[in-house]
Amino acid sequence: MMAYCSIQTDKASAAVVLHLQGHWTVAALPEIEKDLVDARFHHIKNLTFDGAALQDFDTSAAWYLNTLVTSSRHGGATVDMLNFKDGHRRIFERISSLPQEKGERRQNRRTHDLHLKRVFRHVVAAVGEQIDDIWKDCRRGIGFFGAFLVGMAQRIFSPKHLRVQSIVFHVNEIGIKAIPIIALMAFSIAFVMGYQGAFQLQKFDATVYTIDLVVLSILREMGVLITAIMVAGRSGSAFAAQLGTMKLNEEVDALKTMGVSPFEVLVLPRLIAILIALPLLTVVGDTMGLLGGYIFSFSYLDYSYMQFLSRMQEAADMQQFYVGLSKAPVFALLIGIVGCMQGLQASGSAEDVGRKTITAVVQSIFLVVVADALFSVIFTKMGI
Amino acid sequence: MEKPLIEVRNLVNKFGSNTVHDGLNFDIFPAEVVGVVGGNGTGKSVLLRTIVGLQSPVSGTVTVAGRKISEYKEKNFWGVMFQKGALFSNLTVIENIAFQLQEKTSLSARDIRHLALMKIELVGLPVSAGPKYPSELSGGMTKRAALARALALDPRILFLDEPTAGLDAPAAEGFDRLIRDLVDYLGISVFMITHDLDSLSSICDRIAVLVDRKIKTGTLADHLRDKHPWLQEYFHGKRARFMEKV
Repeated sequence: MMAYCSIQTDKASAAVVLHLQGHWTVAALPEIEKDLVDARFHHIKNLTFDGAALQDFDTSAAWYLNTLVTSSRHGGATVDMLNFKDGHRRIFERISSLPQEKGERRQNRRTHDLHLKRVFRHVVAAVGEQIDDIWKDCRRGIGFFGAFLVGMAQRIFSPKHLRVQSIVFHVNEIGIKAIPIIALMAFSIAFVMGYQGAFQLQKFDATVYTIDLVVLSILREMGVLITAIMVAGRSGSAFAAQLGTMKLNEEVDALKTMGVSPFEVLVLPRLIAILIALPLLTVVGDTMGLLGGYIFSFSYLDYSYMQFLSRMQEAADMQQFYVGLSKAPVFALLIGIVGCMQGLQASGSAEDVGRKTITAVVQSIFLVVVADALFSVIFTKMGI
Repeated sequence: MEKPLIEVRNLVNKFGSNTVHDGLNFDIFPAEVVGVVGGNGTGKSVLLRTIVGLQSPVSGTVTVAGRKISEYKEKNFWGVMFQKGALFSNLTVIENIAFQLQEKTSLSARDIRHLALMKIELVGLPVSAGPKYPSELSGGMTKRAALARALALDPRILFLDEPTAGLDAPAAEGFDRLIRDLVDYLGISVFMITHDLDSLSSICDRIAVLVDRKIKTGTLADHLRDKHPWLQEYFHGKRARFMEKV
């Protein structure tokens, strides 16, 4: 017993009558197909669909019935449809009048290349595209830097257009709100470095150099590096997401139509703010790092406050502090430019904003680390 | 009279101290187009959201096909078309339409593809729009794609939130005709929030007006006779002059 149709065959005249019944809906379609898969329509001259007992009939069922009808007609049979209710007939007519075939041809349009060749071509093309993307990003980044310099120069000559309120807001966002997390990170890193260093130096009976180790690496490298990475994660991503959303929301276009440069309103305040905030945060990071070093040497190596201070002054002078701090503006610009640039590149969908945010964070951290390596080489060559 | 598909009884909706609906009663019957109008902030969208269960009312009941809304799990009872389309931005048009078919039926991938293409043609989109992403569509195409997605499982009721807003006049008219066709051909019901007086007069069987935190339903002729000031203003304002002829 089939639930959706009963088949009546007259072998002599090669005629078949299909009595459709029950609820022909999209939910039942798999069952209906199962019912009809056994029915063979190959040698049939005359096929009749009887819709008298049909209860429900929706567009999906009509589509399926239409495929049956057209395939039977292709096989040379005459097809009749009898006793369909008015509404059901109207649905069928509406669906069967749609130019369905076009879709099929699109689907079958596949290249018949050799598989390996296709993969190879794909890989080469992907690598090429990637390199092209990197090249374009570089150019865009340099363009952004140029625009920043021009913008700054203009601000120097007409400082009243400096968006102080916006800059202050962003300094708060980038700088002040990041103080707790950066303080905690710098403190912990210094503590960990002290711990690891002391453990190794103990073997040479030179634990006192743990202080040199911690102080120097915090001041020269770690303080600013940790701060920059944290800011890249916090603010670089925020820049990209904010500007990306504004771009999608056509806010950027709105600015352009008002004759206001989005770069001036959106990018410049952020770049100036990060240029102010990151060096200040670096000072916080350095301070907390030194504090972490002191707490470590106090609690594990039993150095007193005075001992720590005199050792620190022997190990490092102000120059070491300046070496670290001098990198901060460079890192700040890298993070700010990459974040804003990626954000303004967003187009299309919410997904793209997410993708651009990821790119912004990854690129800015990568660039910060590369720049730090370059600084190390340069400073060493200069003997600083 | 036929049994209503959806019954709303004594609905109360509040946002803070602001009462949007206060004891509202409303029905949707099979195979009719109900146009819903009302001033800004009278809770048209809230009513829609309450009926489809996106929002629970402060009090009152929504009964769907004789059952309480919270117990009603069958999702192909209705299709909803949101004001801005709400197409999934990371899926192509075809994938958007196929989504529900994949989730809710055991159809083969080939059938699903074909059904999705059929729906694309049914709403009058070119097949070439299928592989496009929503961000590549024009406003009118987005509306049609959203309608196709709402129709994916052949729902019995369509909820449309301002379907013709932002369309040019011929496109809006085409869209109206399409909706009317769907009602006539497929026998579905349509709940349509609209400000388009043309739509109201040309395709709606009944018009529901949200005033004074309640709802007034009736035909266009009923509303034209109504003496309520807002209705007077709405149906006899300058923008509605042509309707005097109705």
